[in-house]
Amino acid sequence: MRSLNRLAVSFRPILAVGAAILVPISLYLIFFYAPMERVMGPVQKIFYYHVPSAIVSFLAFFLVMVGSTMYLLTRKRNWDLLAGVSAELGVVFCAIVLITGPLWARPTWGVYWTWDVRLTTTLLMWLMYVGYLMLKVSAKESPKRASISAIYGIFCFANVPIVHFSVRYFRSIHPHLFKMESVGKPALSPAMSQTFFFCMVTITVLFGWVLLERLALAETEEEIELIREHVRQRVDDDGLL
Amino acid sequence: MILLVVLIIFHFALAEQVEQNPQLAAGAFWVALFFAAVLGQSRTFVAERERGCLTGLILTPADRSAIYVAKVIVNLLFIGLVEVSIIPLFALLYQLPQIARPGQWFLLLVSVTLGLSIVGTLLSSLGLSARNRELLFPILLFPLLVPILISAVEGTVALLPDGDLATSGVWLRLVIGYDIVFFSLSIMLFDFALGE
Repeated sequence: MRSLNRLAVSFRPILAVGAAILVPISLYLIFFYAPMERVMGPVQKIFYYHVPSAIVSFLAFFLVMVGSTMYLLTRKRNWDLLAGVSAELGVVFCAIVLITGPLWARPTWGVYWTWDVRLTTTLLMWLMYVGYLMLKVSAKESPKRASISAIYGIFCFANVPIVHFSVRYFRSIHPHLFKMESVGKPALSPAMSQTFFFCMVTITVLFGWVLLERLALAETEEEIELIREHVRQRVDDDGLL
Repeated sequence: MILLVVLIIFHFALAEQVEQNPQLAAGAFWVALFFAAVLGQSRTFVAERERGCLTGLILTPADRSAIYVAKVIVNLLFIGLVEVSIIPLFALLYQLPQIARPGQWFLLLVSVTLGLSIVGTLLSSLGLSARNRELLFPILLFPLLVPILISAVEGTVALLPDGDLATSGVWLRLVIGYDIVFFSLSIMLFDFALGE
């Protein structure tokens, strides 16, 4: 983990510069290079940030599981920090998905929300990880905070596929309101899929950069907490106050 | 007791609709039961923790998972007790129609209750502080329970007169799968939940 930290420190500026370059280019590609979708019009351009954000939030929640498992196995604080930071970012990216989704859905499907498989699973996933963060915040004084949240993090991750399957059965039995297949998956022209691929890379780089920044910040917070504890100990011992 | 209150509230909220389609009654029944089970389970380990009994239990040479399994059984029995008293009452109040395969529904009931106690027991073993127990426990537990809530309601609806009998088995299998996944996870993680 120590060497990983050193790697992270050297990667941070690279990713920061990368994100700073990639984001404007991706915006240019979205609005000027990718052709206008014939049926949906300009609103379809949400797609280029919506889908990558969804994929990245999955990646983040996967990292929560990895961090949680590794913490329980190794008891190294850094893994706990990784899990907590990934959960924060996952919730943010998932919120982006949940906000851009209805904006896109309203003009194309006619409604803001439908209880479709992917939508329901995403919403529940978001709820679970918001719960995870609340647990982490509220258990601050508990000495077992890291183990508690690690256990819940693993539970959440195990639950996501089960939720997905149960909602899928649920929907397949009920009548479909919308033919998702015909509207939801537009055939992409080459320029569109190139733009999409570029945005995917952009969002991933952005995620990686913010993750490393946040991780560094979390480590600093920890150090400050340790120093503060140390000072308090000293003050108590010397009877200065 | 809370179950009865919830059932009565549901009756006022849904009165006329329930008479027309009994599917709504299935939803009301399971939601009420889930609420009661979630609220009841948050205190699973409180007595042991407050009086230091848990430390004693951990120090016994027995395998730690035995404590977990025992607690799951206790919660199972408690929820079962609630069910035994509430199901006749529910059938009476809502004029519940005949269920197609009572045996299968009973199996569904048992496996759903087992799922409730498996996940609820592990979450309550985490030892949230008193303030968090009231607020946070349901927030943490309900999203985890969504798959079995869906299965319980849909499995029941499938067994009602107008239901699709062919799909009823799917829901039962889903709940059993859920139980297996979370029971194995809980056995593995319970050690960490208790701490040193």
